[in-house]
Amino acid sequence: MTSTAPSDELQARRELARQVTLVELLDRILDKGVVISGEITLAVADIDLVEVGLRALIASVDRLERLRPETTDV
Amino acid sequence: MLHLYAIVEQRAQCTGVGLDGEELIAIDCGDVVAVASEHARPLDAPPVEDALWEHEGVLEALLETGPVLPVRFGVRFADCGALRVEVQSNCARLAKALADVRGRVEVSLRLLARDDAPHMVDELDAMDGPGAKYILERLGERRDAERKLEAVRTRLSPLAVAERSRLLPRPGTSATAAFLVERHLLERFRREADELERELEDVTLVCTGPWPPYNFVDEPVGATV
Repeated sequence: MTSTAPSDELQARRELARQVTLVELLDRILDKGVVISGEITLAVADIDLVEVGLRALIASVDRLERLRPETTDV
Repeated sequence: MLHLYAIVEQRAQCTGVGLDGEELIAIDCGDVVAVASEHARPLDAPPVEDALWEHEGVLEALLETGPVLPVRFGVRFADCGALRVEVQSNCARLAKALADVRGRVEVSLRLLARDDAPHMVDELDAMDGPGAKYILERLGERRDAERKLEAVRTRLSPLAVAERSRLLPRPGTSATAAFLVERHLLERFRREADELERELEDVTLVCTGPWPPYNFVDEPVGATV
């Protein structure tokens, strides 16, 4: 059994929430939305997964914890 | 170069900054307004995550001011004239789509298979032939995903105006569903999703939102895809 300091746990949860939200964002911003002809410059293979997260996640923390294996696959 | 973010109804909705801190500009295109930012130097391609979140941030701010049609990331035009020609040629469709999403937001549900869920067909182990076994496994997986999605639809569709779903979009995910929800029903929808998640034994529901209505801009809202 491992124990983590509260700040580490909080950090881990934030990171998980960020990853989950990023998956949802990518599903939308690159694949949905209005399509209007223009010059589309896009490649996603090398997206640099740095930080940031604007959105508050509705999902409960418990649920996020259970998500962990899924979200490593961003 | 102009980077296009969204289509809105009113110029007044357009305030703030977009990619690289450039100010947003409103471009009248007949009955709708295009929201864009102008860039003297080429934008990164491929984009970094920051740019995607900046684009999304613009859309979320617009969502607070009125109906918004999010534009897929990466749509760019050489100048206002070129943008106007394209948007105006789609004006009727866009104005109709704006009316469809007024006062509504998108909520996402992701149905994840639980690792501890019972294995569906133990008898498959006794079958001869790897081909037949593989096909039956996939079939079983699909039926299982359909059953879970149906449970979600039955419970949550009455609280939504429209729904778009996808079965088995990736390994480990039984289905994804996007619901278009009236803003005043958002909290109720969330509570219902929470409750449903506690009741379902073999699926984990992940609910995020509110999102701009990415999934409800190109098809009539009444249609289910």
